[in-house]
Amino acid sequence: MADRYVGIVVVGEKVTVVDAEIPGDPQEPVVILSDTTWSLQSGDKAPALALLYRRCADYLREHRIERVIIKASALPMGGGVKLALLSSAEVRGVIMAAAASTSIPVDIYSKAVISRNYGDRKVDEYLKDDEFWSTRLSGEQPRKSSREAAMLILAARAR
Amino acid sequence: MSSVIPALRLGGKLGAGYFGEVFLGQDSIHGDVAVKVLVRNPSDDETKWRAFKEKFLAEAQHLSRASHRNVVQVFYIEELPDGDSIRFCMAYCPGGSLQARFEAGPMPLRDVRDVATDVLLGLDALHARGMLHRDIKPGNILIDSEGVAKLGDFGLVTDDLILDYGSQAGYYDHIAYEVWLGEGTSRKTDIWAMGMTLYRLLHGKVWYEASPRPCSVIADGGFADSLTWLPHVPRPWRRVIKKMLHDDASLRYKTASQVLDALSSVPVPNWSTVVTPTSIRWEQTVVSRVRIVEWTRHSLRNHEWRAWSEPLPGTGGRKKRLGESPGMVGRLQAVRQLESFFESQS
Repeated sequence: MADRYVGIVVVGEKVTVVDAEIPGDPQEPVVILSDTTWSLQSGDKAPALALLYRRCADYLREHRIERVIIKASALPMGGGVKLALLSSAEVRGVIMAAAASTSIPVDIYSKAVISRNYGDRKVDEYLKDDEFWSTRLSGEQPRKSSREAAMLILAARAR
Repeated sequence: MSSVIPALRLGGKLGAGYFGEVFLGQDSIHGDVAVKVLVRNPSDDETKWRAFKEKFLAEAQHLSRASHRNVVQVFYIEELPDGDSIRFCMAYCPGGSLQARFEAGPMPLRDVRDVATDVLLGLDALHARGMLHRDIKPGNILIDSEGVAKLGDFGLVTDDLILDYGSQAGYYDHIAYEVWLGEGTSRKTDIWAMGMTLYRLLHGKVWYEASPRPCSVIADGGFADSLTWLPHVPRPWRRVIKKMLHDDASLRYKTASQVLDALSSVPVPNWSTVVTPTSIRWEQTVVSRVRIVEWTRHSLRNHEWRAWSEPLPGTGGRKKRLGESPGMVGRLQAVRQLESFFESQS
């Protein structure tokens, strides 16, 4: 029996959403069903965030998602916190709240958690490895920029 | 859907459509409700009516699944004892439909985007449940007591009804290119209908009816490129709507969610627009001043426009010229100049 997982990564005001089917047999590759990006609506921020909340909750409910994995906030390497980072955290918080509102299990993974759960290489190495992706996934191949969201799904499956 | 049918008291008539009449009602559970009564067409023989009735009552199962903030909730459906009518009871939306807004004139861009956002969320949910609407038009978008737009009349139109229904129910203009060529409806035909709806809301009845009726030209192909736009409608809006109305369904947006994304970045300057057969006037309030643009259409070939700003009543300041046509110009020239003017103001 297959499960349905969604991996979500927020960068700036863009939300990358990878939706996948997880076969019951752990040897079978994960099937990517869709790879999309939601953008924050231009204009006033509060209603735009409210819309994003509704979109996220609707999506998870309507597509009968069984597990959501969201990439955790992280401090930038060697730099101070800028406003863009805070804006991104606002969006991430809204996505987390929307996912939690559906009663679907929600996991928040940092890169360190992914590394602990999955394989023996660093996450960034997997993200660059084209061959790795072609063997681990079937269906629509995610965009390179969406591999991190797909990685969340692989890590959740391995856990 | 409720399995217990509460006591229902019918009130005044709210409207009439292809399938029957709609009344305001009161039931003991939901309070104010809208009650649609579908009556057997006198020309339908017993077999045809029975087939319709059975199909419709089977669809009731779909309607019960269509529970969403942006879809008008159907509470229950019942066949009346006379055997010649079915009535269904649904949430009452006191804001009425957008047909009246369309008839009143162009809606501001921001309002259209807000409505589109609501409707697309509802449509995306229906599509995710494997359902089609098949009847998206201003008259089927209803506004509830909180100002939320909802898709109404879901589930009434089927593929075998669509052309006959469309010709009589104001839906003809919303029928997608491939349906005219004999193909069935799909998510993509709902997206087409939504694109047509957005175009109509942005332009209002007077402007819309000045062009040939879409239903008379869609089947010829190239419809999206034949649209005439009010000059204040920004190019990103046009690109989105044209893509929704592309003849080639594979080049349209695949999902309602993709349309939502496309609309997320369109500009929404707050021009209010009044269109009459001979003139168009735009107004935009910026802090304590109002910008006004007037386009006068003296004849088919003679047009002129001017734009100025002036203080709001009760505030200080003087009138300031913002632009104008160099005397009388042709239509195309006036449109181009106005488009440049609006672009420069955004």
